[in-house]
Amino acid sequence: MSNVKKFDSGKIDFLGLAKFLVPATVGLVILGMLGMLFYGLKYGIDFEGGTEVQIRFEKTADVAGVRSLMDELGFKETTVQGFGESNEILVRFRPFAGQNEAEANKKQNEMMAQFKEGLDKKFTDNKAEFRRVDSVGPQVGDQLKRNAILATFYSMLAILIYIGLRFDYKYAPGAVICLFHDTILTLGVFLLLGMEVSIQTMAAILTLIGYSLNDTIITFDRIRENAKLYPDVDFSLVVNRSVNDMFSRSVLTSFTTALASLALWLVSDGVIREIGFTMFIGVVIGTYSSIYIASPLVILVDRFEQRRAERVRMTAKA
Amino acid sequence: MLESLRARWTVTLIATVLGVLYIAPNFVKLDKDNFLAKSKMTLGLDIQGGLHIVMGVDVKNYVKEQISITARELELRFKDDGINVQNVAVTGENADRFEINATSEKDKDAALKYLKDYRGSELQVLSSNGNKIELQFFEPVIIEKQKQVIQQAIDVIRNRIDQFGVNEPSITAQGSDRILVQLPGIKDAEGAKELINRTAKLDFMIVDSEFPPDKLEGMIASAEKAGKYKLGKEEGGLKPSEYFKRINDDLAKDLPKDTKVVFEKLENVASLEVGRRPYLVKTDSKLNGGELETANVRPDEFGKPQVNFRFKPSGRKLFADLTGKAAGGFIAIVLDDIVQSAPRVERMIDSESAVITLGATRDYQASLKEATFIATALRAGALPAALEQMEERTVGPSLGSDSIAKGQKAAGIGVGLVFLFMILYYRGAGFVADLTLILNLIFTFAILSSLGATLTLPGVAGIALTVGMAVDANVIIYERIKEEMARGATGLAAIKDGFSNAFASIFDSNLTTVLTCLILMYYGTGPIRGFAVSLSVGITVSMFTAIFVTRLVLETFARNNINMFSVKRVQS
Repeated sequence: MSNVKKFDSGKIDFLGLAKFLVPATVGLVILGMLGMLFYGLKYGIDFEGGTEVQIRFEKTADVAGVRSLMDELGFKETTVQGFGESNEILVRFRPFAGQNEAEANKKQNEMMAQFKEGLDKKFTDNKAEFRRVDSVGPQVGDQLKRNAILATFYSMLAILIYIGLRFDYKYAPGAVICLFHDTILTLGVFLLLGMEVSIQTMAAILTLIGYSLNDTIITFDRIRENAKLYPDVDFSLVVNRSVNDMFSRSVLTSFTTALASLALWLVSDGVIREIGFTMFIGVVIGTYSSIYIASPLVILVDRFEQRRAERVRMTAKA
Repeated sequence: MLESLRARWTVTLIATVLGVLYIAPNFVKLDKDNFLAKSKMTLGLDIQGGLHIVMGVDVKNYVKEQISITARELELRFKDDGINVQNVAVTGENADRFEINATSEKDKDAALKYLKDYRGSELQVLSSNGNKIELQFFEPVIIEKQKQVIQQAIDVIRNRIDQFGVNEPSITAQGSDRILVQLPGIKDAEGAKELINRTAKLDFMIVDSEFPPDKLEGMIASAEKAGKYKLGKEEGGLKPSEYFKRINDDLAKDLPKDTKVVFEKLENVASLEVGRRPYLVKTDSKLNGGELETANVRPDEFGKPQVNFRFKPSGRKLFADLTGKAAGGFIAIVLDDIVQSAPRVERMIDSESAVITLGATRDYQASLKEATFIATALRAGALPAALEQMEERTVGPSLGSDSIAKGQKAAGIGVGLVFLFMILYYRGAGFVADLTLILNLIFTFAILSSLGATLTLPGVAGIALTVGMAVDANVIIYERIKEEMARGATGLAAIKDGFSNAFASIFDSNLTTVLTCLILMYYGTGPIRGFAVSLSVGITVSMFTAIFVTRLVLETFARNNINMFSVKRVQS
């Protein structure tokens, strides 16, 4: 039974696939990083500061009319767009650059008052109701940004410490690289689709950092278990077998979470939709990375280790 | 682990009953005294609608002001005590130090002695060379002043909000220089914003002493009765601003010309609604807050706090006129239509400064608080420092209910899909998993309710995701059991091995998710915190439901020789 020839390394040759997928994925991650560096992610008003107003008119909304009102008021860099129903619009504006924070904050409050007054004057026979106002001053925006960065930093740190305690050197790099891979590719999707990164998105991404490690942990545990069971079998075959063992489990667990996220994304709107979308994308990417990326990296580290051991032996002989 | 099935079923059953009990208050109205009455989730502003604003308080400027006021006070004090100083200047890079330039060494020593005897706890002497003394406030004194100014601003805002009649307003300090105001369910967000940002109106008015107070009270009582209204937050109660207007409209014909009724909150009661004293004041006064230069709290000769204030030259004349007319009677200091204090005026005061002494009945702390409040009110139209709106989030009530309806639908569909999938994929065992998921939801809601947690829209998303993630534990266990069975283990043995092998994986994978949720809880804003709380509670609960309860059900079936899994046995 422990005959090497009889060892079942699994139906799917993940490691064979990895030869193509790993370089392709590395390319994607680099592309994502470059994209973020040169194009930059779009951030919502939570981080950038600014005012966003969701307005419901009594009758059909006059988007062009609201746009011309913005011009009359002298607001620049504004967006006015339809939203859901035909009588609802979403308006956004922010104070112009080149002011200090306190001035910009004051300006922003003034703009809001001007806008409200202008709207009441211009649309006397089609009254506007403010359904939602989100106005984030530059100071608060900065703080929210700082908090998001700190939260990401500490989450990564906590997970890294955890990985350090939980796995030995052979497994840790795979888990860590997956973590960065998942985060960058999820953000990359936002970049590609031109979507805004909001507080909700960040919260979902942080949750993903914790969650997408699950599959990796489960697969790694199995690799260790099998490596003990079959000490004579080539390590890469053991890894392939383990990934095969865990394949349906990884897919199933991710599938249920993806299912819940998908419903949140497609059925809802607003913040729930943002969370659902981010979770869905992230879970798919995370599952991919834990199957195709994490385990090949373990083999890579193992080979590296063996080669070094070989060299040590050679030098010892010489 | 308890071995007896019966004992474990009992634990599960009791937990379920308790869970349902703790959720119940969300749906059923309970007596206030009921021990469960507090076990209720509150709805976040994003669901019930409302106003959330963050006001920045200009604390730095306030401290600067305090320093220059103190410098002037010292100058005056030295003059009164016959200590000759050229000036007390504010120096230092951040204008946070004093420099006393005495005319002689003797005067300098006298100044030092004064500082040591009377200001030793406040001011720190940094150096004393030649005729010069350098001073600064002790650090804790500055911090205390900053805390005070925030607290005063909160008190003032709360007073104004109370007039607006909002249920459960929350006004809290955020960091060292911000105030967070949350007004759930408010419909007139613009009005409330205006109220918070408005500069307070301060008036000095003569109390009409010819009109008997008990007659006034009688008239108010009968007007309330006739008009069937009262001041209060309950059904049919009027907001203070509406109530004041109504009373004055109703009584106008019976009152002397140029007078109006204003109210003072009684001592030792929480709010105007509980106890108030009416005053009839003459409205022909021209003296208002704009005529004041400064006001602050100083102890009198017995150490009791009193309010010193100083008028501008124009105000001095108006004050002399007013006190001349009021001599022997009372002057009401009215802030935003509410009497803050009604001191007795003995005779005409023709001076640029005056003093308000407080009633002798109150204890020192209460007097100090009130004196501070009055001084602040006098000084800056009630707000001790400039406020600036830094963040606003308003959700209209209709949007809130729309969003929660859509959110509930989405969460419901998500949870439903997971349930359906489990049954389709695992059949009987999938049904067991769904049962434990339902228990998971019950316990999660029960814990959130008993904590009085706030349910936000992201929180709703968190609950749907909880189900998607909690079921992972069932999947891991089931796959492991199937594997054990494929290897030849049967019934109870397979279940036992499956659970013991799966436990470490489940624990680890949940741990990392909860870890990041905890960090989110710390750094997140209100709605996001709701997400992190519901997700981490749900996942923690799943450790009990998925492991303890699933095992219990499966073992019960297995002992009765019912196999939940169909597995092809393989030889490995």
